[in-house]
Amino acid sequence: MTTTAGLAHADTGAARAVALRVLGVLGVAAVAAVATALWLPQFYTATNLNSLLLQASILGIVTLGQALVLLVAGLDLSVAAVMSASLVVVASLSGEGLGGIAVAVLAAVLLGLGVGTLNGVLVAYRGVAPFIVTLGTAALVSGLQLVYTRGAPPGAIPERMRGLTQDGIGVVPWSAVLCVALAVALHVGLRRGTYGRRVYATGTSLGVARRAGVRTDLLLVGIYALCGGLAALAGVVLSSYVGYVDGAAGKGYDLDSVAAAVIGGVAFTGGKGGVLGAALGALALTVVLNVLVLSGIGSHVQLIARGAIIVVALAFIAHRAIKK
Amino acid sequence: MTEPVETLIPPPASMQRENTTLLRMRGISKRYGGVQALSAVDLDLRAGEVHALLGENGAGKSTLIKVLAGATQPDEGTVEIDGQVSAMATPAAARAAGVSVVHQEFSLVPTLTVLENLFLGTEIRARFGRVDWRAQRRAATEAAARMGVPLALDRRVETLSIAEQQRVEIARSLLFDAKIIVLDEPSAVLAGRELEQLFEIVRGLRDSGTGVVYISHRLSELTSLADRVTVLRDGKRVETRPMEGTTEADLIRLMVGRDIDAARHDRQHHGDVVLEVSGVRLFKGGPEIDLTVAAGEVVGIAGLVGSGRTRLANSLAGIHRPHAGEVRLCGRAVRLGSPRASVAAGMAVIPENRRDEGALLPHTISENVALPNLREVSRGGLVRRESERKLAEQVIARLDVRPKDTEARVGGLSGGNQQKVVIGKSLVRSPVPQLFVFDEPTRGIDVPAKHEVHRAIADLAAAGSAVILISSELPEVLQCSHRILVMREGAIAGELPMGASEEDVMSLAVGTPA
Amino acid sequence: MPGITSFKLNSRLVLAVTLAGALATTTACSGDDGGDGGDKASGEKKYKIAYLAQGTTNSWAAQMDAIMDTVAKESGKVDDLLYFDAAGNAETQLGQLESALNQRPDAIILTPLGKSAAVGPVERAMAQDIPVILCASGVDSEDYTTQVAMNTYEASLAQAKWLVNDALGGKGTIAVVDGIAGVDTSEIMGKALREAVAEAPGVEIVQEGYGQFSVSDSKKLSQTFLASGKQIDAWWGSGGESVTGIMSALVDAKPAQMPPVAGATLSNGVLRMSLENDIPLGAMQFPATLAADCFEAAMDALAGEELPKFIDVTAKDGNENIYTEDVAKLYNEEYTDDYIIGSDSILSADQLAKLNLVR
Repeated sequence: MTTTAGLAHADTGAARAVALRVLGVLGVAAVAAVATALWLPQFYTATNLNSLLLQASILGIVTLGQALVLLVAGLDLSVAAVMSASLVVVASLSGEGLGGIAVAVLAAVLLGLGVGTLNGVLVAYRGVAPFIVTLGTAALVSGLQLVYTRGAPPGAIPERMRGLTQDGIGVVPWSAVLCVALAVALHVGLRRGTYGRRVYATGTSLGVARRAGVRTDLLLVGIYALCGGLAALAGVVLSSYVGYVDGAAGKGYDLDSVAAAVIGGVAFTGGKGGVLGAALGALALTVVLNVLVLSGIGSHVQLIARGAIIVVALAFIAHRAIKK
Repeated sequence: MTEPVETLIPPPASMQRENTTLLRMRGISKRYGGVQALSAVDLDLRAGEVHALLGENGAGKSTLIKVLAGATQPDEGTVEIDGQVSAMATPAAARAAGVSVVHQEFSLVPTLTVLENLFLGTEIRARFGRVDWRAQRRAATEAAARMGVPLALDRRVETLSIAEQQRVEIARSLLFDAKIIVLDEPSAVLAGRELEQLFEIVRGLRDSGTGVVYISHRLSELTSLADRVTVLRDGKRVETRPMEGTTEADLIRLMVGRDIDAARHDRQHHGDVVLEVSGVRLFKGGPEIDLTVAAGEVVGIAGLVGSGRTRLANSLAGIHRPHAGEVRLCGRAVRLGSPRASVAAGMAVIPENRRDEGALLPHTISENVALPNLREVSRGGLVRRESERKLAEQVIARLDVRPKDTEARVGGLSGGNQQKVVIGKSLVRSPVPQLFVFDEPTRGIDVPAKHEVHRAIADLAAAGSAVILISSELPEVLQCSHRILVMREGAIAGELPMGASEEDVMSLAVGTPA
Repeated sequence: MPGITSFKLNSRLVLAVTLAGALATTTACSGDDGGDGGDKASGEKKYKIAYLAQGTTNSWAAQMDAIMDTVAKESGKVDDLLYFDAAGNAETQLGQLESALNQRPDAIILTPLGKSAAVGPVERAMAQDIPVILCASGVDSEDYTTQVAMNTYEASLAQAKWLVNDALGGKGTIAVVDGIAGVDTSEIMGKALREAVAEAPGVEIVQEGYGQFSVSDSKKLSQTFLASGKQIDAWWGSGGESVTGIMSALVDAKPAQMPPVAGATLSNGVLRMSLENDIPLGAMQFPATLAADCFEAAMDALAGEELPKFIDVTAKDGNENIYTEDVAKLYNEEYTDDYIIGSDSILSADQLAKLNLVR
């Protein structure tokens, strides 16, 4: 009994399993932390911790959405395209005024919600495989973006938005605070709320949830919409981070978010894992890449090591899942 | 094909083999978890014999065939083929020993031709590993000749009718020199001329010395086709006897023939009509179904697998949308095709498939119980753990669920206890559902759990709910119901009052007068 | 005025892509196919040219397409420019080459998306005596009319030498952000740098990694390089996105003295960031005016001229590498970051505005 299949309860066996697992992860993390301190002291510089948290927070926010979709046995490969589009929307709609920024951020999030809703409708009501649907909407979003921008997105990222990633509390940037807040809110909704019960039931067995009166179609649409919205929000943070109008800024976040969620214990098959784990997965993945680069090894070795670590992590998790 | 035929298949068994016993199964026992699927079953098959295997659903036919085909290993017993004890450890070993099973679902590749399918995996090789198509074609033609029907060797299987595909399956058995061919409900999918042709083929096989085990629910065809019949019931062999002199009525009696349990519900007055089903068509263009169930009444629904029982249950549950008709609960029309509407209207359907549709196996008892009762156990969208636990404790107490731990994972429970949780989560709904539909509620669960389920059904009715009980186990239906509807081919074939016999039910179910 | 015909084959993947692509195609050529056949009376032989573009997957390609369209129109020698938008997909382009051949054009101008995919149709076109001009990059075949391109290796090597010898004075450390492993452009640029470094014993590469030709990935990588605490005296980024990422990270880190950065392909944005933040810069051109050179080569081929196998535009006026001192001169604050230097020599202010290139 290793996976956190049952929902976490403070006073139950399932909760003990979760606690054990968290302890295990923390233990491994502690060992790694000490080893890193000895081997790579520059890891603990304020500069590095800050850039680490910054990068992890962007991946973290989009991973939260991806985790939700994975929980209902889905997959969203359109998050990268949504993030890029979100950045373009922010750049083209916002002036330097706070009002303009607010409008632009709202528009970006609405765009994400819209794309997510489309994904959800196609998956839930048309029964198309999530992989196909979201790959298609990704192409649609990128295509429309190109039509709209002619490859040259107009505007600029307003200076006032840079604070989201450039300022913060000590080494912790505001974006990391945002990510943690979102993760905690989602966690409470999933673990304590009736919403979570419906989500986990649907992810574990659509048939059982349906027969119990859960409107699984609507629920799926909501989950995909939420994922789209979170991806758009991640895009907003990304725009603050990059500070440059790059029409393809989100590239790579689709697969990275899936890897981070799965490393964080969210099962591909649905119904298993949680958003806190997923957020930790995003942090872990970022740390691994950071350490690889910091260690100064050659770029080819980095590529191989990065791939190997993801494969080993996934294999380890899959093994535990099978053993259960 | 006019070229001289080179014999690749041994000539038909000689007349001397006619009376030799090809197959001798002795004392076959098999247990699945808590269920004794077979206990000490014997079966003999002679060369040149058509041997009918008969029994209700769940009587043990399938398990016996699985043992014969090497698909499962018996706990006890031996299988002898041609006097040799065979291990039958794998399907390949069974095949090598000369046993071939033609299942209801064919194992053909639709996009390949008949000829390619016939030799798939067993290609005849010429030199250098090349496939020897000429030899294959000769062998296939000869197999067809033995069956007495032509085979269109170059057509793709997907273009063939079901009957033609069945012939390909049978021909494949002949190609590897099967001495024993098991036909599992071969006539279920056929009608008219195709059926006649199938009988021709079976007689042809018999005349060439093959032993045929023939499984069918169509009693009328058995009396004319089979030489002997073995009847199974509850995993035991009831009798093996020659077909000559056996009537259909005899067969039904053998299949169900135990004393009807004396313990029956007292006849009682039922309340108002709760469920009204009118003009519902389960299948497109199928027959219309009308039925009513009153408060406090348990209506049993019997019928063979595929007769529409489960589809009826799913139509009530909103999982399946019927093609026509209306369903009313307490006078109010229920929106069809919406599980949520069914639940909201006050229906509870306990599904046949516990694992995929009934319970969330990785979740705890309290989480399972809470799922249809989220409004009751929550406030402001947050689940109140205490209410949730209390609700689960109610279920545990009322149905005696073991272990008595609300946080135990349902997947770790026995089948019977899983089923109690599935039933229990509807039982504690508030308000209590006005209609309960149980689809095979006791399949695969042990005897004490069965009693709990039966008691729950009786309690529900006594408390004023309307109950529909669907079961393949006739004693269960007969014992628990106030009246019984028998389904056949998507229609209600007839209604029987309390006190009807199993023979009455079976003859309605198979469509022959007892 | 030449009639413009647009083709967009079904990209197999999704209807949606097709839709988006088709929209892109129409807008690319709208507003300029008004008076069809107005010039036909001139009596001169008019050509049908098939232009197989990369597809507007970025602004460079959009500017290429607009320039091709403009020069074809202004030449008065073309009455039908068949435009194919491959949406950046080599397979799509292969199908489009086939349908282009079926239209029997007088010449083909191809921006190849893969080295091998296009070989078959290109060789078939040559067999039918249709000249094939390869524009910007090449294919794995000797059977084509000519290739018109920048010499990426030479241009990169010159920048690398500038970085190593002039900017660093033959002594110091370099951090490298490469593009995508295994992609030609990235590998050629990276190779040029490493050759230059190998010749300077006092110079060492202390950090390297792949930035995936993405501004944000390159920025993340650069930030981590900066956090490693190692002394980094100069930076190399292969291509415009890598350098933009590097400069963005440098700007956020606010070092006392900005180190020199080289390796960029030039856009107005790279110039802007260099200028605004006093970052010494070495960069090469990858001009969109290449389209005009390709068109000219096609006309020459049709006029029966013998063409060399490779027309190198690296040395052409306006295409030379640029260094720190030229930055202020070349930067044009009227244009947006995606503007490619030189495009305004052919495109009108109106056209540039349509391409989102005017602030």
